[in-house]
Amino acid sequence: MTSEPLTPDETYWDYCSRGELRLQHCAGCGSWLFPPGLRCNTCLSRDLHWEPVSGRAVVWSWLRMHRKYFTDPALTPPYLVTMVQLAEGPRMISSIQTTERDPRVGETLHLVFDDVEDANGHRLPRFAYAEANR
Amino acid sequence: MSIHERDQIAIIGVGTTSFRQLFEKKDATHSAYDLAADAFALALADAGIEKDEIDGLFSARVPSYIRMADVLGIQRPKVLNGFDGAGRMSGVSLQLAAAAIQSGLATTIALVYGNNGRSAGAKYGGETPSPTGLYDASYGMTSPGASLALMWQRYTETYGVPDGALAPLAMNNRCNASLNPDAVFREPFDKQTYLDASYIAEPLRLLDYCLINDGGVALIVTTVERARKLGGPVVVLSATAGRGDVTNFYASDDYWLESSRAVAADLREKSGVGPDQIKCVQIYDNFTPTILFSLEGFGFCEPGEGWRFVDQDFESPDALAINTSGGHTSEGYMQGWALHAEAVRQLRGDSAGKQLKDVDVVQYICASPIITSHIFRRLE
Ligand SMILES: [Zn+2]
Repeated sequence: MTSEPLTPDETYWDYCSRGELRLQHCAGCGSWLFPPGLRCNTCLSRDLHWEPVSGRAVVWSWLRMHRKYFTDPALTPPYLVTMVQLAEGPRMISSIQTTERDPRVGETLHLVFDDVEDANGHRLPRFAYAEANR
Repeated sequence: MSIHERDQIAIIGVGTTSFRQLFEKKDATHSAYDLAADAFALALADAGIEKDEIDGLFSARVPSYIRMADVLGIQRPKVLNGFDGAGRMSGVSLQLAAAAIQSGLATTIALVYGNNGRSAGAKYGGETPSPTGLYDASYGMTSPGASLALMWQRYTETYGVPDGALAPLAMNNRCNASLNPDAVFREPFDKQTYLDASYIAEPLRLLDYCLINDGGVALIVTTVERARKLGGPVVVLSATAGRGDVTNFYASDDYWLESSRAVAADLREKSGVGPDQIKCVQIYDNFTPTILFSLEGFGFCEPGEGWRFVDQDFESPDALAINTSGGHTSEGYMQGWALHAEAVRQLRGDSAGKQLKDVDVVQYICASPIITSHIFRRLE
């Protein structure tokens, strides 16, 4: 009995569980894909390979959520949400680990992973200010 | 007949329920079909035509166009279709109705919209599906307002915009709504009240947000030839243009600037009308920053200057009149539909809100993942 292959979403979280942020990279045209998909949305190739990203990103923008939308206690407002732009190109929603100060649009970030799983059993990729790494 | 030909399509009837009366019935539960049907009956009466003259039906936001057609007793229309509840669909629906009439698919199309968001408990956030929804939800990202908050924060840092820059837009909407007996909220407020309002998705405050209310809107659209036979002033959809600007995220990299400029240029070519000839705009305002992005994208001011442009005395006769019936933040959240009705009423001189003098052209603008814009005129 063979096990079902992982879906692109499952593969994404599987890498995250090992502390790796990998996205699908197109062998046809070199584009990176997020969210995970079935084919490259630049050249329509299906020849996608899960490659690690550099972990470098910049703040695209951010907000502080004040309204409660989720029952998960980890998402009790107020909390910061950040949209980052990865060095490879794709944008993604994430957050910054520290609460010491607000982010600035365009500032450099680097990838960090939560040690513990969230309510859905996922280890979330997050980001930290670049200076915290020095 | 070409779709590019000007002044071929007329809006002969508009109908809107009283959003205020519906809002005051706090415990009542309304059906979206019923709200749409109320608006349809009002639009028929407004047009002064009989129901059997309708040969096309487009529904929006109601779950099923089949049921809608059955509720209205329009069982054999020549064109029949349904549009989802996204606000961008109001402009799209009118475009496609015009195209259907110009191509001869039908002669007189009713567009009916029913929204029972308040009584159905719509929250516009939470664990809702979208291309990135499951990923976003992990970090607590949800709701259209939060997407606009991301865009507005990026804009303010990019252009050095002070806090409170959106206040004039929220105040203008409310001021116009104060004249509109059917508006949900009619009490004007000052800038300090705006600043004191609670944040929802900071930097956006409660008073930057559209309402959640119940209501229906209907439009009846036909050929100008047929409209002229009805007598009275003829309001036409002089020209319309649109373009998708779609990514995984609602938040647009350039605030839809490039796409809006393309739509504006297309519309100008078709209508011969540009921003310098426009005194009245109805701008899709799910959240106040959208108004500002629309003004920039459609050439009323330069990119990055919208916040200075709207820091104006809206009561001055020289000011650009925006959302004269109160907009989504004060009149009611009818996802662009009531703004269409208001454009027609301005041109007929029977606005529900702030009626301008001598207005003969009104522009509708919606900046969103589908950008649409129309020029409405009154024919003599
Ligand atoms: Zn490719």
